[in-house]
Amino acid sequence: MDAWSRLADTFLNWGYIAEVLPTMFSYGLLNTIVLALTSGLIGTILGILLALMGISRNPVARWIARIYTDIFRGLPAVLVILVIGLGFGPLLKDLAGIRSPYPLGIIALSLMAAAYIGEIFRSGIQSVDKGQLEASRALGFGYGPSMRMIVVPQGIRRVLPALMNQFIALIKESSLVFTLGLMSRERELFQIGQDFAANNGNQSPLVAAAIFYLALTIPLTHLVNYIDNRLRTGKEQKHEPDEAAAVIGKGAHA
Amino acid sequence: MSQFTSGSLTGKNLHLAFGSNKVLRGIDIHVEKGTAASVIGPSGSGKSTLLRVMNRLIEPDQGDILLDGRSVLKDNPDELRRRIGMVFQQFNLFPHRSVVDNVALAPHKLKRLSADESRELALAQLERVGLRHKADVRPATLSGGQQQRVAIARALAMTPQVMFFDEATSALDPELVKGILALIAELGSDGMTMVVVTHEMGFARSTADSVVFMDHGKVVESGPPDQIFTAAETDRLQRFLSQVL
Repeated sequence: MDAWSRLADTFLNWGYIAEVLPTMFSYGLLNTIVLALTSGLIGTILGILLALMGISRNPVARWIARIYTDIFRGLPAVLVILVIGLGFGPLLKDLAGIRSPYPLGIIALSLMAAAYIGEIFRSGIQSVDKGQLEASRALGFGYGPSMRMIVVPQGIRRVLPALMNQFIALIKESSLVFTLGLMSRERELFQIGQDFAANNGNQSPLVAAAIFYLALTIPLTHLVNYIDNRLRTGKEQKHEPDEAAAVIGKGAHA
Repeated sequence: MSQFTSGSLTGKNLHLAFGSNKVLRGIDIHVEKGTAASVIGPSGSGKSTLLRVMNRLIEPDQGDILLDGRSVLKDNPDELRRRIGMVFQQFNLFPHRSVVDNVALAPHKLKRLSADESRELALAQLERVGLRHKADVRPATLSGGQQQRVAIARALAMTPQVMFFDEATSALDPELVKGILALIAELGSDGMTMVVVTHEMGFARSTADSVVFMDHGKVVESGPPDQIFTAAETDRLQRFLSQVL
């Protein structure tokens, strides 16, 4: 066998790929999606909370949000997953009788996602023009209702693309839960590929996993670009000239 | 067009400082019920801040504010602002809501009118400013002049006793200014009490019942428009008028 065909066999051995596909389809793909979706959802809820704390007028709340964000954005994902997944394992077993580290993996992913999502929401909310809050207050709305009805909805709308990117990152980072030693039915795409690859001394199962990831992430990336474009050009709706301007015939058309 | 149930507005010895920066240094202002006061003066003289202090968007450090002769400093500031309409230079319409929702939101949520009632009220206000046919579009599709009309309708929908205009025409294309000034003048002749911060000297002269000239956080001179524009007593007002007229 020459070097090229050996290389082809290492990465594109159809036999191995065919062997690993049923497992990936039956629960690997599902586990990856469950990990990314649940931690994305929990991370979003925590993230909104962190963002509201971050812009709060209460300095203690701002500090807590700041410290939390600095810690969870400043640590490697694999370290957080290991520390939480292994460190809290015994506690989870005692309290809830759960032996699987799977929920702890979700929690670790959620806590990290919350730090990033919180920053996304905070910057989005703070990018809303100050006049919006002022106009709402001038009508007689309190600070809380003004934020809830006027400022926050506008802030969230413009961060949708950044949120989607965060979800794409979660799909990829969910692979790191392999470090927790999950039971076979709990394994996600990457670990299934890695197990097959190690058992057979061939990388083709990992290539199969890669194709699954790309099938998830590439369409999402393009969806993000599409939404981003819509949000940008959506603002540039056609302006209608004022009646007065139309008579004079300049200005509003310029 | 219906008359307004407006009230008089008085600011007494109003002071405000941001750190060592004294923005208002003892302002006294009185606007009779149903009259319009124009506030003029150079940039940074504290005109816009005065409006925000009088509806307590910013709390004064010292002084008193009387609406209809009664001090409102002890009232809930949110409730005070429901009685004072405000129109901004940059319109500040809510871009994520339709035109009619912009106008109906406060009556619906704050006066607890039903969704139908507040929509009807909003449509009537839009009718007043000539934009009923734009009820269901987003504000971003409107021209600046149209947006400012919606902002005026939004403020009127709360049936305020006083209206504040904070350089309401400064962000408009020149040919749109007249229409908005005419609308403001119309509210004045319908009996609305108004405080109009403006750079439009023609408006201050022709429409206002009284003119207040501010500089460096103080009222330098005030009186009826004829007196202010033809018989200015202070150097500072004369200098200001010679620059802007």
